[in-house]
Amino acid sequence: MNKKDFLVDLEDILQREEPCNASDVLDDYEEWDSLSKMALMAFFDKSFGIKLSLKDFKDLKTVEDIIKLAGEKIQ
Amino acid sequence: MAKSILNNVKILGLKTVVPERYIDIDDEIEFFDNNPKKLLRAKKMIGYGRRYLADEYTTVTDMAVDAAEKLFSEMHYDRDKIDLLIFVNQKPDYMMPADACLAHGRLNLKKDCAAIDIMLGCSGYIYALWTAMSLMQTDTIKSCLLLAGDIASYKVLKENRKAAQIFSDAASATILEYQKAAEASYFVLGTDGKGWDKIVNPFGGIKLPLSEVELNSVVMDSAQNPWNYRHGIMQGEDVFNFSTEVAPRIMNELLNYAQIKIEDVDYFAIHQANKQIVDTIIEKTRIPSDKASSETFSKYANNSTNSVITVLCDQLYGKDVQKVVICAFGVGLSWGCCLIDFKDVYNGGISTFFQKNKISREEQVNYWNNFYKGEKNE
Repeated sequence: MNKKDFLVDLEDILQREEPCNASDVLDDYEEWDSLSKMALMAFFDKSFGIKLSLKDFKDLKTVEDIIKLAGEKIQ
Repeated sequence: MAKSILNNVKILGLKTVVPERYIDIDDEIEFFDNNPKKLLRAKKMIGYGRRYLADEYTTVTDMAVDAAEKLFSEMHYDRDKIDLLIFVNQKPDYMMPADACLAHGRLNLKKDCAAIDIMLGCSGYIYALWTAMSLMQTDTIKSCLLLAGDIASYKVLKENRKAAQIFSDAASATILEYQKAAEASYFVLGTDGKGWDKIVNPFGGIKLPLSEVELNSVVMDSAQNPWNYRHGIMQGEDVFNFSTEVAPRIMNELLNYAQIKIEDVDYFAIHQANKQIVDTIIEKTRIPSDKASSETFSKYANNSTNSVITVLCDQLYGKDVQKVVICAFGVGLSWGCCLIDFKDVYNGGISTFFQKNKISREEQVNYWNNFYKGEKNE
């Protein structure tokens, strides 16, 4: 999956009405809550076969950090 | 290996009942900061909708007995045929005797009838079907009444937004009969008892009886959700990971075991934990969207033991289907999955249970006071 497509998907995963950018700070998102984290866990699992835990989200600062979690799966 | 192929038993009919009282999530906007956008987002993501709540007078036996009475009458079924009663639930009416015995008496079943309880939650219906069908392998037990249900909302405080809008109450009755020509049923079952405290109700049993102090205590979690010791608690993240891992795996195992493909199955009834979990399972298993759904969660919420039966009664009502997979998982941790023949099953759908017998706690305590004293009750 390319980065652009992921950013569009992320909008839907977080149920956000505004577009997501890689440089966005997660704590600035009103939608960055436990619902969103569970939704991201589900997305990573079914799309990339990557199992995440809530601990993995602890140190994330930006959208770019989420992308890094996917490793090579997001180019 | 916990796998079985069971012949000679056919499901004849089933019916679910739900209490008359319900709450719609749209009427609870105060819990979403009175913000319609936040409410809509939670509805889309978790599937919150309507949930049915039993009143303080109602037990799972009351509802299951009502479901059975309705089923007997709709199917014109002769209750004297019943040789076996199985009752699967997680919150019995009394510490003893078994709910199956209570229900046996209330339903006026014949005395030449075995009655047993199975104590399981979300996975319970699969275990109860498997037990019933196993016990009916010889033609000595010809007819079985299977009751199932749970008061999953029991003692959840409305302000607890982690649990309150998830759980809802329902109970059901299913009739099975020995039939030589019946299609085979396939089962795959499993347990991980090391996960016993992932979904747990620690108080109220022999290990930790509730004392006055705990009865009235309310504990707040870090998100300010109030918890009462009388209610169970769940490790959400672990349960999410467990559910989305185990359900696709056992459904694939079952299809391999029965040597059929997803295309050959007419419907997959999946335990309605919540919309997010069910949708993830459907996508991971690659089930086409017309063969499985999380819609029942939005209509009836998570019915625990009755959940998959609620799906059958809701999604397959009035439909002509044959091969149905049922997949359930949860407290235990326990899971099971089966392929059954649903052709010509009488599907009584979902009806409303009305509690006509409202006996207050005071009246009940008075009754038992007299009972202990050895005085006669009216």
